[in-house]
Amino acid sequence: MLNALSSDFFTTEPGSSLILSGAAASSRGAYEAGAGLVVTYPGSPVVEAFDVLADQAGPMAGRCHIVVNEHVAFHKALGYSLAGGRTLAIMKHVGFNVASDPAHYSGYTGIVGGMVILLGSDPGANCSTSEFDCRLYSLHTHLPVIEPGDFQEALDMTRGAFDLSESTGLPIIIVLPSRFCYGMGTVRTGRVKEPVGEMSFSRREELTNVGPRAVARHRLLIEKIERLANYDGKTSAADEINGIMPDRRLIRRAETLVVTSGIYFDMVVEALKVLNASADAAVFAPVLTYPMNMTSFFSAIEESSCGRVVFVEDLEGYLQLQASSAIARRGLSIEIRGKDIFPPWGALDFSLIIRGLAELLGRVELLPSGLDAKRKAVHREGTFCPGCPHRSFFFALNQVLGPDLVIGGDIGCSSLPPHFSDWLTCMNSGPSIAAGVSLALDGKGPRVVSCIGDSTLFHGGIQTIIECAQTDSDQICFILDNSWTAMTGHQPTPGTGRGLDGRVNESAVDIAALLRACGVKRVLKADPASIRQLGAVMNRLAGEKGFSCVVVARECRLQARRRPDDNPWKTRFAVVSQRCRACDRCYSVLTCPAIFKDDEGKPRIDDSLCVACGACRQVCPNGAIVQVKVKSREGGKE
Amino acid sequence: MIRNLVVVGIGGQGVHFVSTLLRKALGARYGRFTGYDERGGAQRYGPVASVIRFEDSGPEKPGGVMGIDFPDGSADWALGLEASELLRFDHKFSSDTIIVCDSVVVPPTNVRRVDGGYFSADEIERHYRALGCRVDMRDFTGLAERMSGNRLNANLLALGVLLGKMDGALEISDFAGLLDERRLALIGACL
Repeated sequence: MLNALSSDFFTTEPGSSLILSGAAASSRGAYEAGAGLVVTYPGSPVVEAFDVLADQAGPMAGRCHIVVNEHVAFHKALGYSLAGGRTLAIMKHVGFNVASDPAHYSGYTGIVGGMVILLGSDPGANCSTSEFDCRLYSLHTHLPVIEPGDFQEALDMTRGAFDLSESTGLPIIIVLPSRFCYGMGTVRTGRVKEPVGEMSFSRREELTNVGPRAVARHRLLIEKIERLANYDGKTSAADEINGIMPDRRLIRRAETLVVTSGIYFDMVVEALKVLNASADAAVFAPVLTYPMNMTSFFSAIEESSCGRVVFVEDLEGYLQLQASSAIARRGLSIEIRGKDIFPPWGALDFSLIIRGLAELLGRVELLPSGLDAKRKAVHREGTFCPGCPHRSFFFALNQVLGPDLVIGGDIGCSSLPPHFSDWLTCMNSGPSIAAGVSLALDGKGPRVVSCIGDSTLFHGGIQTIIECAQTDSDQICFILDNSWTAMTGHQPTPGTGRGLDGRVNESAVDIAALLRACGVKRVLKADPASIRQLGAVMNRLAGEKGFSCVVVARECRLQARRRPDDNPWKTRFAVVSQRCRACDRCYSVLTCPAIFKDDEGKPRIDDSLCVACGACRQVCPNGAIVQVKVKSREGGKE
Repeated sequence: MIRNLVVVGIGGQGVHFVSTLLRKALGARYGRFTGYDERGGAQRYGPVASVIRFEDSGPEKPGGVMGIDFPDGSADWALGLEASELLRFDHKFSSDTIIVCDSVVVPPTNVRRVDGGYFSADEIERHYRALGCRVDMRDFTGLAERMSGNRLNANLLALGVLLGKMDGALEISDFAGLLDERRLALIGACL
């Protein structure tokens, strides 16, 4: 029976019931484990894991830090751990690319206080520019990976991962797929441990990794992993590894052993039930998916007497890779299936799992079916919010500098569809790739411009700015400064001027001054609220050779609207239908979501969505959109 | 018995708000529920969906395994805060699925740019009726504006209609501690 639901994420009452997202359940585990430091660079789908812990009214507020990028965040967490504290580092899968350099060394140096890295993966690329299988990093960093299967496990396993980290001397990675990160379920709380009080740092030889020391540490790391991979739980107390969680097993004698992990275990079991095939397959799901415990895996093979092993996992086939190698080393003759059935790309859902198993087990006739849809849903791209300064910017860019531009795109809100840029890959791709393109074109091709957001500039872009300034890269770089890391829910950047607690940040970075300090000779500013002003700046720079930067600064409209506004007069925009020629420039070119078409096919403005940025009035060639002032009923912000 | 509910809409419409309300009510009543969310389009006018699974037998009769996703054709209910987004989940629906949706249809910006045609509310309603589903499509947005002066309250009105079709699996009293009187009244308005 479930206890009464609590709404207090930070409750210290064990056994309380909470409703949490997958990401927040993992955070609760870190809170219970006594994490003294939580670091992140904001990234979907795990941003909520940080946000709940950083609640300014909560006990962890001062212990949660947004860090300039994941590389620095990882190092900061490692340093805290080396001084004895428990620490949680939160990042998305592509963020771990950035942190991978220190992650490799952390296996060599080891840790002192428990260190856990919460990674949000994104099979299906629903909230990311890619869907890399981040688990594969463990094959060369040798950091153990845990994959929880449900909300309670996300909490329990994150808490347990701190113990495992300390008993192995290694940072532990928890991987949560995006759909689970955002989903919700109930959890029962455990006891909350206080963070370590006084900490100290002691010099240790193993922290300096050069020459023979590095080789010795590498050997030690491999030995640690082999011990984990072969741990049978029957060793003496002195050899016991704390925090090891039992694998999930539904072992019966069957021709087929399904090996899966994380959220897919329940789906596999349910799919077998639907196919009336529960007796035809054994199921094994390691909790620690790197190193996969081979003692447990081979005992599942022996107990089931299976003739084939089927791997059900998303993306690249990471369990299949580890297990196939172990099967070969052992000299077993057994059929291996998996990535030939379940594709290594895209999200793995119930439909794919049950179809694959049905074909394999000869139960296709029992496949459930849904409606035979004759009308197919049309792809729906995301777009800029009403009032977004990026919408005006890209409108001006296309109108003023023309369609022949080469536009380097970058991560963040400015990357939203319709993807005005010519490329969009990782953080700092905008000006960096543009540097190479402009070098190759040597001034003979179309004008090269690039875009980068303020948060991305701080994250990793500044090195490119230095490079471009020093080499006088022939490009105009637009710094799209909306004052926040808006894409992930408005976390402050070093340039925001406010901290997480809302206090004024006296050390806020002046972006224009920073650019000049990097050696940029031409630094201009423009306000995207004025398309005309933007156009004038673009025209001025169009004929200039060499490297120029334009700081296009206007706060994210969503954030600006959250502040109190006592002005009783509100600005509204309206379409004067007698003047409207239905040219559709506002509807089809500007594509502001606040503009819709009425029954006669004429554009109208939805006041409940419009934030009165005025961009539509500026783009209307017929003067059909007018500004009106209205007095709000409440005399202030609505 | 495991029951499956899908809530769909576009980013900015309140799918997260409505699905969180439903989950809180389910948590208080049944204890156990699960599901997943697709929120890549949240705040960006892209597709957003919540899948909610629960056992209406309640915590005294805990059932078997319940993964975050569910078999095709097994949705008991679907709530569409934007009608055309339902089409993405047709494979999860059967002729037994009860569909409640707002008649508002928002063409994607990729359709707007090329002046492409898009589904009308009538077309979508006919599509589901032809397939035998029980559909309740109403102009909740317009109704909310008339009733409360706020279009965003369409979500609560639609939720009320859904509750009326859940055969008591959830009732308005399950939301009593979750919302103020004014919002509860809006849920009750269409119940």
